[in-house]
Amino acid sequence: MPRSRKPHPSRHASHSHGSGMLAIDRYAQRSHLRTVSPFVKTVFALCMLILCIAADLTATGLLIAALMLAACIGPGGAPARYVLSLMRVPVFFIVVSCLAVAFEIGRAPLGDWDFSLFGIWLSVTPAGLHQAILLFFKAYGAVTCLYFLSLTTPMQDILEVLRAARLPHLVIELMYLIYRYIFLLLDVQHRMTLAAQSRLGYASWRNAWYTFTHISGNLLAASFRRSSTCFDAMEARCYDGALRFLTHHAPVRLRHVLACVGCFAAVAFLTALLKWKGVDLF
Amino acid sequence: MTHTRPALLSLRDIVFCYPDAPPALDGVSIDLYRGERIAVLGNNGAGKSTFFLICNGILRPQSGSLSVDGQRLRYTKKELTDLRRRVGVVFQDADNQIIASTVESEVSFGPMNLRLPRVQVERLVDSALVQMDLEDYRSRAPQYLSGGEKKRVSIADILAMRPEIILFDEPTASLDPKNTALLEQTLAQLGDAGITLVVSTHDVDFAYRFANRAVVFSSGRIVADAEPAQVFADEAVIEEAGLKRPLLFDMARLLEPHHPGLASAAPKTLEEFARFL
Repeated sequence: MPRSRKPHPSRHASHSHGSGMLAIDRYAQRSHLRTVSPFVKTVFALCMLILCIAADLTATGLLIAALMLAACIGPGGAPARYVLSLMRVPVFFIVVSCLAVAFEIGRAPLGDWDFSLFGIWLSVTPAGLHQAILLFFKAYGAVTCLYFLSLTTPMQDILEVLRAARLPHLVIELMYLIYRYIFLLLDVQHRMTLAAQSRLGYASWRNAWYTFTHISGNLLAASFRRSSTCFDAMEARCYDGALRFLTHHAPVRLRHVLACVGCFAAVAFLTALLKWKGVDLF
Repeated sequence: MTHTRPALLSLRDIVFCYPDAPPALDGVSIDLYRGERIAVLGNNGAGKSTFFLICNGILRPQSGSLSVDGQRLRYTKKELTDLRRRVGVVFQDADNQIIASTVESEVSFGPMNLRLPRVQVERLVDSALVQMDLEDYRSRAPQYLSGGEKKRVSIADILAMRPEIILFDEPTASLDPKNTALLEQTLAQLGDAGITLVVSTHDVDFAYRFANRAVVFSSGRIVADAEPAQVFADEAVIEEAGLKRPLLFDMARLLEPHHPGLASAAPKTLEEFARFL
């Protein structure tokens, strides 16, 4: 008897928009760290980011990456598997950049490992290798600082911070509406794709291409139709050209500030110590 | 129907055409009074949605007039704001209405647009959230709410403006039976609170249970405007508007020979009906 194939875990559970990067939004909305003021989290993430880049140490990069990921998973409550899988996202980009740094191009072999290519030599020198490893950890450390912010602070909270940072109103309103409508349009797109799939719209490359172009066109038409109804609905509630909402965000609490300052101070102290001793992991 | 007080909202000979189309409304006159529960019936394209947008001042009729509390509307900005505060529209698709990224911000949109002081906005939002049982959803994002929850948010949106009339555009269209039942309860509460409710629907059984006045649209005109039992008894209207009669209404007529008085009593719920058997 043929073994029945295990059902493939549906990428689109029910009709949620769960896959890929949008899961970040879902976890941010549910994060336990939403009770921490978005201002505190933003300043913390930025300070750690600057420290990570300014320290120029492998150890600091590694430490910050570990700390930020732990913060997302432990206090933040995001599933560890998901957070770690996020680390795969920038891998290609970071590895390619590091390789570019690691190799030196010359007319003669220069380093420990040399490869000849069409008459020129690609060499890995100890200095280049060290530089590449440093860059790798620095980049990962920096990326995790942003992941920390994205996984604990949903868009509406980040917009409050941007508003306080005096970003122009127009930009904030656009971000607000774009954020809201991303989900609506994705939903429409998802439904159109399902409908096309059920009619073999993706049966071959040719079909898939045809379907893709038509769905894109329909999506544009659908958003135009929708925009006029949405505008009616806004006008029906006395909209007069400026979006005004009542917003609340978690207040700044002393213990949150202390925890952040403590974290930052510990990493900064360790960095200073390593710098003073002149040692690093690699 | 006789009313001693002036109509809250009255429309006179309203004509409205969308570009390059036959008139969507072709001479509509109607008076809406305080505390009425009105079912608006009629086919798709009969003019129900256009009628709602006219009532709220979103569309301006090519001819005819709108009066609020006996005052003829001149479509100044101030009058329009006042009209839209007093006459709220709950749109058919909540997703088209919801624009903010938390429930609380969303519900505050109307009161904030009325430029009320923050304390008052907070009070209005709080009471609307309580009324729609949404207190626990305050900081939730609308994209993660269910259809029924979104519908409640879209009603809270309007309640926060303390309207005197609420127009519901096919509120049960995308709701499951459980949420439809919840919505009916909500409508009953709002009706008891003295808000005039105008509900467009294709569900004649619901209309029969809910409404104390039925208005039937057909091809942009009002072809009937009376008590539901009276409207459903009119074969010509049923025929012209392509309506169906409510099940209980037909049953009452069917069983009249065996249970005299059933048809004239016109029971509107199964419980009321059972009492006659």
